[in-house]
Amino acid sequence: MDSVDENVSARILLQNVIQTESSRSPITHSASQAQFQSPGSRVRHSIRLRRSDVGALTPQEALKQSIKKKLCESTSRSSLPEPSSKRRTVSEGVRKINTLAPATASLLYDVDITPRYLLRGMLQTELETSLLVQDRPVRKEPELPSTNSSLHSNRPSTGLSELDLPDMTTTVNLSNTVKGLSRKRPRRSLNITAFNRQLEHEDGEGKGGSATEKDLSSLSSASPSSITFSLKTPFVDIRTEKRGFQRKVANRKKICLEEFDEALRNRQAAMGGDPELSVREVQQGLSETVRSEGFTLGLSDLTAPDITHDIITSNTALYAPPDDTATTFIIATQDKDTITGTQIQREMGGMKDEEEKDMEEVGEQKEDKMEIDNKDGEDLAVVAGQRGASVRQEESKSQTEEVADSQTKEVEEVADSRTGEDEELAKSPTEEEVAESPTEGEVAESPTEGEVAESPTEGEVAESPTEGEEEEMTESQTEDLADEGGQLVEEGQEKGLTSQSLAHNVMHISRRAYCSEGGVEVAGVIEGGRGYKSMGAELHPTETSAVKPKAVRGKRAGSAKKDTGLSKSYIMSVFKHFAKTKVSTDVYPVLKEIMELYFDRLADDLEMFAAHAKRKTIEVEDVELLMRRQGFVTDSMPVNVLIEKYLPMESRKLLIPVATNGNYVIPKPRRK
Amino acid sequence: MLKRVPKATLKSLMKMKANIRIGTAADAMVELNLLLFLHSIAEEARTKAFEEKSATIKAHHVKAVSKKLLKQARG
Repeated sequence: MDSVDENVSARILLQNVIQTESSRSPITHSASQAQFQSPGSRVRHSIRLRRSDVGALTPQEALKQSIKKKLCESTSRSSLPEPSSKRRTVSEGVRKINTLAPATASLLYDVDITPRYLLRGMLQTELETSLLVQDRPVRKEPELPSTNSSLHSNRPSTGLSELDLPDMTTTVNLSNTVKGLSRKRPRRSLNITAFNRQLEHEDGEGKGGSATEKDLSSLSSASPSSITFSLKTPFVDIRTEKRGFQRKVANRKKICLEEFDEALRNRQAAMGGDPELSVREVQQGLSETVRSEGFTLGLSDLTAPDITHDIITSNTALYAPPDDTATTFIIATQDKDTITGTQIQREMGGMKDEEEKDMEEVGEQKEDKMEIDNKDGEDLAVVAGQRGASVRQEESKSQTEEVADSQTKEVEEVADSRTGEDEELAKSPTEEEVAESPTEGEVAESPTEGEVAESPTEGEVAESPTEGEEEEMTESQTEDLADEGGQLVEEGQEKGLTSQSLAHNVMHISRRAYCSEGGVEVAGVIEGGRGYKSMGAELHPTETSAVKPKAVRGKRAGSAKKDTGLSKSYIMSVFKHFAKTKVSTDVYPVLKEIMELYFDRLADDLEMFAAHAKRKTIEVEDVELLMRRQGFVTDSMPVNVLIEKYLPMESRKLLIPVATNGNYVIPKPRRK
Repeated sequence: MLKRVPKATLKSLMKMKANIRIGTAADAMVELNLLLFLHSIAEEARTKAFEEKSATIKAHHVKAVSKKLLKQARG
């Protein structure tokens, strides 16, 4: 309406705008600017902007407008050059963004440069910038000026600068960060290398000195060189350890050698220099004395001092060539056989026999049978409290007079403390003797002192390491003897010790001593020495069966071992383990009887259970029921727990199904 | 644990005792039972020996204990 004031009201303006400007698509900033500017009147959609345009711009508003304009320009400009600098894939997206950005920018400019729009523009531009890689800024920079110059000539210098600055900053930042990262790595490497150098220097200076420190440092640095350092350090320890080990052995041997030599010289001087004659004389003398005095501890006492001397002198046996003795012994063995046969019949009292046997036995080392007998003989000797072993030992050493002396001495020492015996044993003239005497000494002592078997065996064990040959033989023998000894014990300590067995036992006892295992076995033998075994007894463990009171079973299969009972060693070991305190060996016969009784009852019950279940075979359930009845298994103590507790793995596997890979369960679960 | 009793021994004993057969797994169970029994004996004997103020278990300790145990374990 013309009549209306020319002052253009908002409504009128809007109408004009709508009429004049048909719907348009977003246009570039420049286009929009041109368009807007061309009509001459800026028509702002937003009221705020209109106000600013229409009325006199207050200074603040004017400032705001200018700032906004610049921002828009910057956003538009920044968006434009992006596509060129950025990667193609990204650039395309960027282009789109850019196209959008200028549109948005134009829109912003046109519509309203509100903070929201500004922020959007900033984000868009920033996105572009954030995508920048180190390379980009480089590319961008040269391109920027080109693009800028090409695209927009109107750009104020400030815009360019603005663009450049942020890019630079970003690039700088990135580079800085990259540099920072890079710095760290070389730093670390430097640290390691430097550290290593330091370590090397240290190591070079003193090896093994600050081992611990080095180790720590090396460990901390975790460098290969440090590891080597650590390896070096234990070197010192090993040396010391070896030294320690070496000392023991070396010292002992040295002492023995020296003492032995001295003693030997003394003896020879005393005896007149003829070893053989002296030996014989000594033997005869010994035998005479033995006869006259009978086999008693007293005899051993008399001979005790001699024995020590003999032992010292006989020490040479350790180093004496075994061949000589062996040859002599071999010859002697034959004689011994004949002699032993007769001697067997004699009682233990025959020290003489023992002595003779010792002589023979010494030579026989290699004959198991004889050895077995010797062992028996040893047992007998022990029981008799005689140092027959000592005698034997000496005899075995036909070489030296010491045999007789040692015999007497051994006898004497039997009564003496074991320690003395041990010493003697160590110095026995011959290896055999040495073996014998310790065992004999111990054996002798044990019966006399009672159940001190344990200690003597220990002493024997200590001395045993000296002889290697006998060890092997004795081991096998000891095992047999152990079983036999146990049987003997069970038999009730019969005193039918044949002299022969005595002699053999003595020999074997000494041998056993060498075997470290002898501890318990020797003890057992010692105690069971009374129950002597005949020659054949050792070979067959049937004695055990004879011993068993309940042995009467219908199907006893001759003399098969373990035919009728659990092995003694097994019971012993298990009982000891459970008892946790010392267990005397007397208990084993009693225990064995109990076990047999129990086992019988067990079998009967199981049979009944199986029959009740109308089955022909005893199954796991039967045993389980039995255990429940016995009270071993209760509600609070299930079977599986017991299984886990007591049984070894092999048997456990049978009872508790174990699942292995492949879905295969062992044992196969029974399906009923 | 300490020593393994060969299964053959157990089986032979069982066969000797009875005319009945014994299953495979039952062998292990029997062994378990045996161990348990031995264990109880050992415990009782140890207590008895301790009563008499001796550090080692002697035969008479075991004997005194066994009778009672055997009775109890009969079910």
